[in-house]
Amino acid sequence: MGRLRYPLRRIIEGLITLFIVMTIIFLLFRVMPGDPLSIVIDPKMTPEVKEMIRHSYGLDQPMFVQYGIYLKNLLTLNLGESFRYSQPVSEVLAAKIPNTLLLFTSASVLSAVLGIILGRIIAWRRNSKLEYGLTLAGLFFYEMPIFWFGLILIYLFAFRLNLFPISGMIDFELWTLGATTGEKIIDILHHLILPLITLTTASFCGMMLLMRTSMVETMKEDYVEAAKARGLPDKVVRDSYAARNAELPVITAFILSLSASIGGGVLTEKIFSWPGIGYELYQATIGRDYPLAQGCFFILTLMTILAVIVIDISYAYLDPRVSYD
Amino acid sequence: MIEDLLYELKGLWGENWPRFKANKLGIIGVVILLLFLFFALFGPIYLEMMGNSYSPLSGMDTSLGINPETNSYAWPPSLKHPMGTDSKGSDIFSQFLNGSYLAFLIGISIALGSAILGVIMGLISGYWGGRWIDSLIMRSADALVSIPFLPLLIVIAAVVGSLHLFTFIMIMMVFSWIGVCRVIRAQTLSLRTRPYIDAARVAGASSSRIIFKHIAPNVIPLGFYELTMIVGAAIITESGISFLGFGDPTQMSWGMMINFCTAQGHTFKAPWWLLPPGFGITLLSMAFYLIGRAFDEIVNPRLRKME
Repeated sequence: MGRLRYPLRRIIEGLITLFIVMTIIFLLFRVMPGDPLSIVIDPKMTPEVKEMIRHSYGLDQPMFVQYGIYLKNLLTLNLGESFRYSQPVSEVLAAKIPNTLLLFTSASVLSAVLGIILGRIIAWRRNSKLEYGLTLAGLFFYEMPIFWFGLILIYLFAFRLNLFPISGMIDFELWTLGATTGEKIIDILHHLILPLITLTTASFCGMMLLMRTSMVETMKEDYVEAAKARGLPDKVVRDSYAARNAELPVITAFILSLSASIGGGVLTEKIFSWPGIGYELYQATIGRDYPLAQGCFFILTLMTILAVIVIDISYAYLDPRVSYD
Repeated sequence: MIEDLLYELKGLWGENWPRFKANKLGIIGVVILLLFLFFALFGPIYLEMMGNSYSPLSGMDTSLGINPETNSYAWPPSLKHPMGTDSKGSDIFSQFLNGSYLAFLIGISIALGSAILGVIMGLISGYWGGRWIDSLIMRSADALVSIPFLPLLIVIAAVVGSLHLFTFIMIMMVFSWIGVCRVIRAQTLSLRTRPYIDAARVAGASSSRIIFKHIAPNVIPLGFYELTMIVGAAIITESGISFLGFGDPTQMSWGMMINFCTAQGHTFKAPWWLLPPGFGITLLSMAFYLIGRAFDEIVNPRLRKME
């Protein structure tokens, strides 16, 4: 039981967070002026038809009944019907989730690895030209508006040099002409490279700077001094002694930046018309497709909360010094 | 109380400025910041001087013809228009100046608002609060952290049409105080058991006096680093929202400039239009971060160099 208590508590906390957020969203959509149905109801329709549509969206019920229906629907993942697609929101989203996961996870892993490696190098060579150079360059990319960088990459590598496709995830012509699975995978990777570079470049520096700070702290520990005194090679002290323990705080700090990087992901998907949840959210918002916009937000929030919980729990197991009551 | 606090902070400044000066990256940050501050302060005067045709939102140079390269009134930089013109013949340098003013306005107001919120919440959580209030505040902080706020802003924009600047600033404040609160709380928790705090309490000092005179001056500097990060995040988030077209349509911010450039199909045709706002956002956020980091290396004892 003891080992299970912490994960259990975190999951319950996550559920409460999700509940609060979705309640805010519910109020937002219902309290704001404007009839959400106005875009699917043709003014020329007869009142009976209008009423029928209104009823099918549950909008003729009192507010608290609507809220009950809404919560029940969220629990059963019944997210309503998209106005634009005339298709259940959950079906629209199910098709997009893998695309978003592919882009987000590959970018996160890549930037974590890159950040940790570079971070321990610049911490070890503190106040060197290398540190100043890497910090300035990394910061420039980190503070850059991600969509702007994406546009520049598209201009250079897709528009000018014609190395990569300008947008999308697949080449429809290729896929309809009956490409082999291998060709399809290569096609997706070919489309993935630019958005992946955009997201990774924008986020690796955050990890790098965190790693540096954390490493500077662990480098003062006695066991690092002792390892140096034993005459171990520099690289061994750096990688196996100082860096090992410095990596853990970086993971916690990473959680804090997660919701910001989801924002970056949404912008990246929009720039590259990557068919994921973020791009769908943008389009649903432009098209005033409220159920779909709400569904996209629900999934993105769920993804963030899940990621935070998973990282939190694994952290508790990884670091024996941390005790959670 | 407040005078005490200011006095303590002043002492802190005199003690630390020499150390700050030695930090090269910090100095680079200060130089960039001063440059943009100059733009932001003198921009409005310049715009006033140049008159209506240089107005960032509605101005246009009627003497321009169509540029065959861009198929619009967008011309590359010239003497009359140091950064060129946009597709309707509006001066980009004027828009850029106005953008720096807006960036400061957005960044500083959000940072100040969340500083006040964060310090108050952190002190309550760490000093006044009992177990319940403390865990209520910290749990809400945890909840806020796991809300992806750019998507939330987009959803809000979906409902209200576009985010007025004031609305945007308010929402960002609600999401930005957490970092400051955590730092302040952690420090307060460790300070409240120190002997000098006990001594003050025994001497009859009130809780508010202890907090403002003895605890706040020691913990506030540690929150400063968080604040500089908030400024950057605020400027970048605003640009993202404006870029997507959900920003305040009455304000020509840097993000709005990029939005207009792409919306008018000039992304690949007019680099003089696309590049300046992006560099503005990047360099200004970077300057704030560099200053915050240099400051942190001084006041955060765990990072201090071994001398």
